[in-house]
Order: sequence, then C-alpha cells, then structure tokens
Amino acid sequence: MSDNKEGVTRRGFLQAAGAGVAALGAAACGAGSLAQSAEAPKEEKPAGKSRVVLVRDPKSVSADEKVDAAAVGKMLDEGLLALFGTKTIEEGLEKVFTPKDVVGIRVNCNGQPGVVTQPALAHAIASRLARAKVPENNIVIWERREDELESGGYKINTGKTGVRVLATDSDGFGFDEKETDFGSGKTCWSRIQSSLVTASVNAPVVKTNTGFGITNAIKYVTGLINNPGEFHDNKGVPYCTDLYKHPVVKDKTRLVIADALVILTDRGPHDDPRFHAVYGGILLGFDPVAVDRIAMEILEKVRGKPVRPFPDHVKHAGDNGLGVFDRERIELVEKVIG
Amino acid sequence: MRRGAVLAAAGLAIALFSGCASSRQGVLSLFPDAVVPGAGSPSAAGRLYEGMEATAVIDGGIVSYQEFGFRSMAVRDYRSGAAEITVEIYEMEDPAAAFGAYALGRDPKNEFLELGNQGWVFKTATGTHVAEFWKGVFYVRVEGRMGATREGVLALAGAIAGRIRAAGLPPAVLWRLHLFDAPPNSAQFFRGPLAFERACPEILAKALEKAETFEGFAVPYPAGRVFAIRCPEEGKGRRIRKVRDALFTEWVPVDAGAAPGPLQPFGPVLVRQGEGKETKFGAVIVENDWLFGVLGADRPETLRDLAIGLRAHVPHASLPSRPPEVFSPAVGFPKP
Repeated sequence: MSDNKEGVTRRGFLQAAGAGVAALGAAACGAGSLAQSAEAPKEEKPAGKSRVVLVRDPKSVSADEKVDAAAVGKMLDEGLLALFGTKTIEEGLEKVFTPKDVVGIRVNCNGQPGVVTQPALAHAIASRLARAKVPENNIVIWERREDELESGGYKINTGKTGVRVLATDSDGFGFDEKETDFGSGKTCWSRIQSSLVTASVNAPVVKTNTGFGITNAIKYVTGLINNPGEFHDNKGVPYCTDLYKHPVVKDKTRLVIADALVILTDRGPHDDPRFHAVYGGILLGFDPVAVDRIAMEILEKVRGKPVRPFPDHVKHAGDNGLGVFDRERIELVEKVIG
Repeated sequence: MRRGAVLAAAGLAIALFSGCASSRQGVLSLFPDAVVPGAGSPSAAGRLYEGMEATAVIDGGIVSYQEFGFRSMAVRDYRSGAAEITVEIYEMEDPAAAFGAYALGRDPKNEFLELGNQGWVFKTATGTHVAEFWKGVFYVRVEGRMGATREGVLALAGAIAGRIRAAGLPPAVLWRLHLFDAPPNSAQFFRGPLAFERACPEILAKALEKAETFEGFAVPYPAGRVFAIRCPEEGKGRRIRKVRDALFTEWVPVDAGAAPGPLQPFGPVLVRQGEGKETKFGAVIVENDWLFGVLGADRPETLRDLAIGLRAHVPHASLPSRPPEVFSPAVGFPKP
C-alpha cells in the first residue's frame, strides 16, 4: 500500500491518530480529498472540515422497529464509500485495518432491549471487515456484559470460528489488574480493549442522556473501564476527554459508525420506549466529536427542542484536541436511499 | 404530658407522611417472592446496586437521580411463560427526591393511574407496556416485554406499591404550583442544575452549581415557561439574587424602543444574547428567597401575556405554613 498525500492511508491515518486533532481532522478531510484524486469521482469538498456521513433509508426500520438487515448493509456500504471516497469499501477499510488486526466493534447495549447498536449493523460492519481481509475470528463484537448483549439481540460466540461476540464479563477477560493513570483519574481497562483488540470501531447508538445530554461516540469510553461511576460527576468533564485521549482508546479507535436506526429522544441512556423514534439512519466518521455534534443535531431536530443538559463532555473533547465541535467546521454528507 | 403527646403525634405524622429514616424499608424486601397473578414469578433473585454502582445498569442516567438524592436501586425479573417483566426500584433520600426522579420522565400525555402516590402506564408501538409510580422514598419502574400484558405489569406494580408502607408527600415547593394554573402533571421539579437545565433549556445552568441548596419547578406553556426557584437560608435573599444574576449573564434588557416597557412587578424585558442563539425573551422577580421568572417567549408580546398571568398571583404567593390536610394524588396538588 502506498501513501497518498491526499487520501487516507493506513500509515497516514495511524500517524494522524497519534498526533492529535489537527492530524485527525486532516485524515478526516483527507477522505474527502481522496475523492478529488485521479482514482475517485471529482466533487467539491470544503477545505479543512471534518467529514461526517449520514445515510438514511426509511425502509430500514419498520414502524414497529423491525430492522431490515439487507437495507442496513446497503446503507453501510453507501456510508463507507462516501466517508473514504474510495471506489470500493474494501479499499477504504484496508487503509485503516490490516489482516493482522484484531478489530473490536464496541457496541452499546446499555439501552437494551429497545435502543442498542442493532445486531444487523454490527454484523454488517463485521462482514465488510472480513471482506477487507480481517480474519472473521479476529473480529470481536463486544460490550460490558453478556446479558446486555443477549438482551440487545446478540448471540454470544466465544468460539474459534466466526465473528466473536463477547463481553468484558465473559470467561477469561475482565479488567486489567494494574490501574492506569489517565490524567484526571485512575482506572482499569477492560482487557478486551487493552489486550485483545489492536484496532476498534466505535459503534454507539444515538440517544439522550439525562445526566450528560447525549450518549454517543465520546461517552463510549466509560463503557471500557471498571469504575465508570467515579467519572460521572461534572457531566464527565474532563474524564471522558482524558480517557479517550489515552493511547489504549485513541490509538486503536479508527472509525466511528453510530446507529441512528432507532434513537432515544428523551430520558436516556436507559431505555424508555415512550421516547423511541424510528430515524432509519447511520452516522459515519473518523472524528468522534464531529459525529457527536451531528448526533446532537439529529436529536434536536426530532425532539423539536435542544438536547439538555448541554453535552459539555462533547464540547470539552472538541476544545481539547479530540475533534471538531464547531458545526461550521463539519462537513455533513447526507445520502438517502429508498 | 401535653407536650409529650404533641411530640408523639408529630412523630407519628412524620413517620406516616414523610417516609423518614426510621421507617426506611430495605429495597429488596419490596419485591414479591411469590407468584403475582398475571405477572408470573421471579426468575432470579433481586440485584442491589448502591450509589454509583448503578451505572452498571443505567449508566449516566444515575447522575440525574443523584442530583435529587439517590441511595440505591434494585432490579428483579419476573417471568410467565415467554412474557418477561423487569422491575427497577430506586431508593431515594426522601419522598421529594422520589417524586423528582419520577417526575423527570412524567409526561402529561401518559395515562395516569392511582398507583402508589401517582403513576402512569404506557403502551409502545412495539407492544411493550411500561408503568411507573412513586411512593414514599421509592420511584418504581415496571416494564413488560415479550407479550407481557398491561394487566400483568399493573398487577406487579400494584403489588410493590402495596408493600411500601409510608406514602410521603410531594416537594413542599410544589405547594405553590396552584398559583400557576398549570396543566395537570406538567410541572418539572428540580433540585439541581441538570434538571433545571432540562426544564428551562434557554438557560445553561452552570450558574446554579454555585448555589448550594435550591429547588424549584418549571411549568411549560405553549408560549414559553414560568419557573420558580427557592434558595433558602442566610442573607435575606442575597443568595437568590446572586443566582438570578448568574443565570442571566447572557441576557440583557431589550432596547426601550423594541420592548413593551417593564413588566410590573417584574423587571425589564430581557433578551438572550449570543451568536447563533435563537432569540428568547424573559423577565424575573425576586420575592424573599424565591426567584420567579417567565422566559422562553419568541416575542416580547407573548412574554407579556405569560407575565400577566403570573403577575396576578405573585403578590399573594406565600408558602403554606403546613402541609395540605388532604393529599389526593389522583386529583393533583390541592389548592389551599
């Protein structure tokens, strides 16, 4: 694989991930720039913006919240192509994942049973990774607890064939014995995050949070540790930022694919079926702050009122080098299918 | 002797109505162990989560309950054939906190029931039945899935309500609610910045973090909202004035030419400043240790309409010195 100054390359992306927001933003913008290269269709791209792709298909989820897996697969394909700006999905994914990687797909099933990262989406991501030469058994869909996964519709697979589906409380995992000082606190990482996976897809679900405003890409870090309760005061500031900036998270998290198929518009993050909204969307990006900013926008549009409390943890992450919060500096690419 | 009798009676009244510490029940003891007709029987033992351990179940949602005063939560699953019902019981510091946690998710469009002090039930598009209620120091949530019936959900909720001994009273600040002629079940109670910001999204409530003790409520109307904050103790209202000033740091008086003039007894019409922020108008008044406000209106004229409605009541707004004699949760909060 050769480096391309304008495109997202794996080496370039990894350097960007290690170098902070400027490089991360450049990587995100690079995906846009790639579309202007000789190998991709030409289109106008705003300079210096963080790209977020929103794909919607009204047929992807029925009124009674049944998810159409085939439709979700098509949405994911459209989204990946738009995000990477490549001719094929494999070409894009191979820029950020290698066949040697063990790729974690960190889903969010805390809002089980109704508001979770849909199994159809997680498995669609897994199948695209497999097509990009990541061995199937090196793909790990995971959460905190097996019971959360099962309530969310997942089937546990800790075997040696197929995509693995497991949790921190699965046999043989648990948390690191040694505490990590991440700056504003100390914690023990899930061994899945610290030791098993070498790369991650952050795959949250778009929902409100009565304590934080929203739960989506940045907030996912509190699901990777043994003592989240210690870092929930002050609306997660600065803990979420500091946890996300730790190499165990930042260096591994290559992609954000957020589930906006069924979103929770109030009272979250715990499920409250009164506030489900069938939105039929997925959000993709490299920049977790920008993805959260668009998730906020979606929630506010559907709710018809601002997300409250204001998600200080997202803004703080943006102000401290994790991505772009300023809406003017986010390029939202919208694709509608069906 | 007489004094002793009075004290004993007062103690009994407190125990009956406030759910005080001496009458506190163990949260796990509230789960029925036997079969509940229509709901089934427990499929596992109840699980108890104390303090921030509850993040394992409800993640960041715990923070909003903590603001009201949260102690523990317990979860237990019931099963009848394929039907599953999950019960969550939140043990709060006092009945007002239990009301606060309950009222966070109360929606005037819910079907309200005589369940505990007050409750509601809701059927979702996916056929899930959810019931919630509060009683004493407990806020309870019951969710039925996989074909669980409304009757089963309500039977289990009713069984738990029946096991809670002390009823408790709603927050004292809400005794002023009648002044606002509020739509039933619409008031949003707050005891901290998170719930305040949720109730009054026009104001980012960081300022309230400096107010050590406050509580209040907001009532939404189509044209905006009215709110009341009480910041008791010390300084004869000095602190409430500080809270007022901090809350409205982004707001300035409207130009004389554009405003309909001061809204007596409120101060000048205020407009929110800030790049990219939607224009909103507001006005406030401090009365002893209370701050009353109207805000959220799109135009000064609609603010005036709201203010006129509130103005008629504020001069007479003295807090009742004792609880209402009759508390009828199905009707709502009584007028003195």
